[in-house]
Amino acid sequence: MPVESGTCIIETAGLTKRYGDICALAPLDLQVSEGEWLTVMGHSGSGKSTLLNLLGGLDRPTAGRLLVGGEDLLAFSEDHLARFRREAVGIIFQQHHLIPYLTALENVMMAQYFHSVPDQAEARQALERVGLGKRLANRPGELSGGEQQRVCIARAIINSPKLLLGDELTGNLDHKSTRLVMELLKELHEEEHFTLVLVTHNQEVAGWGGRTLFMDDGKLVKDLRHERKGDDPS
Amino acid sequence: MILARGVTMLLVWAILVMGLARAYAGEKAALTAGCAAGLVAGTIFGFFLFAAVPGEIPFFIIKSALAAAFISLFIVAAIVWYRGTAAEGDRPSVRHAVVAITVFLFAAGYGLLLVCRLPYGTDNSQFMALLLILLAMLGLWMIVYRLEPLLPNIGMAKGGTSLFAVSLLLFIASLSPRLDLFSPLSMKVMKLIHDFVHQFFESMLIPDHPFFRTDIWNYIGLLFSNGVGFWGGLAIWFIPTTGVTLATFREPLPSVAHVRQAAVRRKLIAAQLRERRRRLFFPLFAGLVMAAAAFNSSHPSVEYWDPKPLAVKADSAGEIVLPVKDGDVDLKDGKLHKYLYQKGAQKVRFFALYRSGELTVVLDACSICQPDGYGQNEGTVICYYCKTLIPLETVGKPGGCNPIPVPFAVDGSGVHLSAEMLVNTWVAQVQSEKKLPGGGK
Ligand SMILES: Nc1ncnc2c1ncn2[C@@H]1O[C@H](COP(=O)(O)OP(=O)(O)OP(=O)(O)O)[C@@H](O)[C@H]1O
Ligand SMILES: [Mg+2]
Repeated sequence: MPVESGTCIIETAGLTKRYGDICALAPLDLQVSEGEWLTVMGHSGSGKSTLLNLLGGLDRPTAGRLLVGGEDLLAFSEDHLARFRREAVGIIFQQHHLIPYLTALENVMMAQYFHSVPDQAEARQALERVGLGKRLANRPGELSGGEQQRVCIARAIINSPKLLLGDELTGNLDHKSTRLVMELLKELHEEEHFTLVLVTHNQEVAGWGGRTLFMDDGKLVKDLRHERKGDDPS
Repeated sequence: MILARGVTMLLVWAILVMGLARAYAGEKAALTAGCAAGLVAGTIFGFFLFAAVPGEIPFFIIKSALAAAFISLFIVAAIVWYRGTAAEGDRPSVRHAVVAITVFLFAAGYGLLLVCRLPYGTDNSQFMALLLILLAMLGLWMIVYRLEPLLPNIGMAKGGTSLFAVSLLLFIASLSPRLDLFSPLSMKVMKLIHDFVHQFFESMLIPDHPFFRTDIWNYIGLLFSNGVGFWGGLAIWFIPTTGVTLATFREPLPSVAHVRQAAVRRKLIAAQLRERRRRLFFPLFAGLVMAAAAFNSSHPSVEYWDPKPLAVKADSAGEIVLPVKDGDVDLKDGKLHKYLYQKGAQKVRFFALYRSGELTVVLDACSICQPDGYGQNEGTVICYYCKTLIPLETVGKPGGCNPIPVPFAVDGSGVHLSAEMLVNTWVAQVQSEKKLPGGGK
């Protein structure tokens, strides 16, 4: 598999995160090209979420350099960082963080609101795109785990982010739902050309991407480029 | 006093210029020049005006200029209403000139008011004050240029800015009763309504009483109450600001339909909405300032000299004698001295005043207003009811809202008045509550 062409969207040098004595992320040098689909695997506590949070501007590193889309995240003020999170990054978590008392549609519109202005028609379209056209008016509690996760995906891509980050987004889903979500992600990835970084324990999920990082104890132990699946039926 | 007032006004001025410079960053040079030249010209013109023209005329001139500025706001509002508030693309040279001239006029007005706010006269202290002001201005100027870039962005719609500028002038004017525009405006409205109602009844040939029951008269009476003038005046007062604000809201945003990506489109819309909110800053703030001016005008902070009327009695010949000098009291001290004469239930208030080198005695009421009486302020007395200012020189002359003059004689023993004449004049000429339907406060 050739090294992907195109410009770097993520570039880190000696990126480090410490919590007191614990080194959650050892100095890491990493480059990710635009449009790449990257998977991060590793044992529990190996620093996967830590890395993802740093990339999404949710957390600040202890040391090192971090460029996203050519911009130095460390130089950003809190305000600027918040704007960066709203406009350039979409984040999907295992615990969906949907607002329980708002409907699916309103949850998506909320993301629009924080980005700029809400647009109901556009939000409805986004939910139709993830196959929830009939569940617009349901609250998260009335949706299955897989459906909730799809609402999260619609919410994450609504502002056309350059970078989509997913932390264990299929962790609670069964085999079938996981497949549905991954197929959806593949479709969106092809259409929207965002860069995708997924953290997972699931070997199968890793297979959907073109490159996998293996982490252990905060260190990057393997950086593997491989064939992508999803086109073959299994 | 001079310094306190002058410095306050200069501080306001500095903040203002800073805001303007921020809002029109592209026109900074024209703005700066216009502001400086205007303030200096206005201040100097003000001093010369007061030095050259005596009495009330300078105030009249300034007040007329203010009124013209206020009326021009209606034109501004109309233009904004029909053309929109977005900054239009004139040629830069024209724009510079327009900005410079507009700002010059505004600054000149500010300078004039600055002079008015300082006490009367043109002795050396005033020129010293002028010098101080110019020096202070120079200092403030530097601060303005240093601080301006630190300010957040504010809207830059011309309509809103001129609105704000004029409302500020009106506010400063409202600080001194002689320049205040709001009271005369509400007075005009009240008179207009009175006249209209009278005309209406006359032209319909309806005799006042037989046709209507009292409760109908009570409704008509509402039209005559003090409140009508106030609220009517207020409505007119706020037309320009309301107009510009509404026009800004009403204005359609530029189309973004050509932008393909939804998120980008929304961002553009959000930016436009933000921009419109910013353009609302000046009109809304202007509204606030106008409200403050109206409030000022109806709650003047000016202290009127208004002594408690001294009860007097007539002697056996029916004559009232006021000693010219009696202990602390000196009728010739230039302040008004109020007296109360009571015969049965009929009370008569009158005052004596020494002005223009002469004593005069007048009733504490005029023939057109409710007899709320008069108070004295620098150079004038004010009718509490209609807020009309009467220059001291004209107290003692009949007509209009002037206090009703009464015949009197002065000799060595004091001022002599006939008690009967006082009562008769009061009963014959002063409005009583009963004459106007529903009148009074
Ligand atoms: N806020 C924190 N304070 C202290 N230590 C923390 C904090 N967050 C994470 N850590 C520690 O950093 C290390 C890496 O944590 P991280 O959450 O990145 O692991 P992970 O790879 O995502 O694990 P999992 O697969 O269980 O989610 C862990 O040892 C964890 O205890
Ligand atoms: Mg984790």
